[in-house]
Amino acid sequence: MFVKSAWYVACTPDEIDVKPLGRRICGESLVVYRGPQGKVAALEDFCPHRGAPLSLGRAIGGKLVCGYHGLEMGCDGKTIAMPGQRVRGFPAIRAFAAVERHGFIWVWPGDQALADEALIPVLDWAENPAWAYGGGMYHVACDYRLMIDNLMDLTHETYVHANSIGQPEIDETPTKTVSDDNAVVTSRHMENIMAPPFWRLALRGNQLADDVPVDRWQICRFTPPSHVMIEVGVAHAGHGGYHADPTVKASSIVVDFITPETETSIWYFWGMARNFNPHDMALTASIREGQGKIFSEDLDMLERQQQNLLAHPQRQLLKLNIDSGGVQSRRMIERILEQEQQTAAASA
Amino acid sequence: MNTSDLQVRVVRKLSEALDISSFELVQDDERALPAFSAGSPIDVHLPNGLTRQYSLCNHPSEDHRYLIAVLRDASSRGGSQAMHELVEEGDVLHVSAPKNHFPLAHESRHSILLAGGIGVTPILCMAERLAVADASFELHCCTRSPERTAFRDRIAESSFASRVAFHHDDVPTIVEALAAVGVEIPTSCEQGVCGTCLTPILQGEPDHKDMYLTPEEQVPNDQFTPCCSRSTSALLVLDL
Repeated sequence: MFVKSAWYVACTPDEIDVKPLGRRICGESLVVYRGPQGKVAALEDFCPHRGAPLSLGRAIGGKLVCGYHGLEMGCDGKTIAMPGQRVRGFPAIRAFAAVERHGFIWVWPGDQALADEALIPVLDWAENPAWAYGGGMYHVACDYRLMIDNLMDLTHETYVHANSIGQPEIDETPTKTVSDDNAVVTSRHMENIMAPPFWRLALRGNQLADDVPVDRWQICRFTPPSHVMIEVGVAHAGHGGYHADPTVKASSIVVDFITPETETSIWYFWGMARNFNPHDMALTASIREGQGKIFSEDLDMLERQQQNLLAHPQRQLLKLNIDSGGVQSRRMIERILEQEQQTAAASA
Repeated sequence: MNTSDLQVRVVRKLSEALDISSFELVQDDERALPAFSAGSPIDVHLPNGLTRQYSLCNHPSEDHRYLIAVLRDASSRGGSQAMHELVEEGDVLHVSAPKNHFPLAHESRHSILLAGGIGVTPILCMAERLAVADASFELHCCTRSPERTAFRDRIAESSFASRVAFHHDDVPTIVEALAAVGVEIPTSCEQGVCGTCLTPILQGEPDHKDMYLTPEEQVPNDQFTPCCSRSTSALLVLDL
């Protein structure tokens, strides 16, 4: 079950530079490409002629040309032309709302008429020159909610990411979870600890000593349908931690856009936005490389966890205190799914 | 009065078409029934314990009766069968007040109503509502065959008869009728899109149902697509 009336990250702009992209999102097979005036467009990936995937064709002058017999498709899902044919009676294919914003291409897999651009998340860091962003994408064979659980309970860092961001003080420090109508926030503040290797790199990147005690924080913020933004950082100990002056800390936002592909697979867009040394491209590259390695450590765990769950669907799982962020996020998703079903039933 | 449970009497049970019966329901003391809008269904509590929803198909301005029509479905789980076999004129039924999950979009410039089989019941009500409001609309009734088409007479006698088109599955197309007597016309799409079967007309007036010819090309009536188009004249002479 997916929330369909919502914006998801479909891809990054570079993925449609050369040719149209075929991508399944929330169970819908889409083709994403550049239409007229270079504006992004998303359609059902299905040629009305013989069912060929339109993503195997090319975008020429804003028209999507089928790679099988040359049918020319418009961004509204209506056939424009086809060599040797009259196309007036060709059935239309489904068009989806698509918008390019904040360095991502967003699609709305539900009813296009309900898509409101104002609902695309506001990402200050994406538009502000004082910030730098680096990131990537992984395809992961797990339920999108397992990834939300993972990101809303960072206790796993101590074990999955033992050599980079993990440290025993994470397990020893309890978290606090609060939620309102629009978000679930789980936070953990650790005081007077030694920074783990990834954060030592970040301190050095901000010209700060990396061998002195620090205060460290993790503030995970889930917003529907499946976005998790995590404020993370370290400050030299005793300067106020999260609230310390920028000159004594290295902090950033871990960006996670989780786009369901199927019930048991996701397109996982991960990255990090930072507001120290934003113009240092080498630092951006080294953080991106480090984060990419760290985040790849989760994949095997999540995929094997998914296989276990599929093999034992009747098994009850534990929900411990450390899981409350994920549990509350799942409840919020359930609530929205119920609303969508009621709306759909009322209009059926 | 508890509007969720109304006691009504079946004052008339009529065969409207093959396997379709209508039931006229009134309250015993001729009290007014709760008002309804076009497209509203009621819950009917059947003698065998089942509850089924049926759309009201009389005019929404009527408050003295509810009219429903029910198809006897071969794959019925007991609902339509009970209506046909267990409910007779004079019987008392318990029904709910109408509730509308399928409202008519009143603000439309032009409405195209598409009815499939017994699904015509809420649609017919909408057509009557639109006709009274003098709104622009057209109604397409799709059924397997004319004898399985409910309310044909009521539609034919209505003020909006000219705005209704009937579409039946089991009437052979011109291509099929010709094939049956050994005349083959090459076809491809079989739905008036590709133009493969385009055939000149020598005499008579075709009923164009294709999307291949432009409206301008259809006007002279000198060619048509026999895979889906029909004839409005009794005789159509083709140049084969």
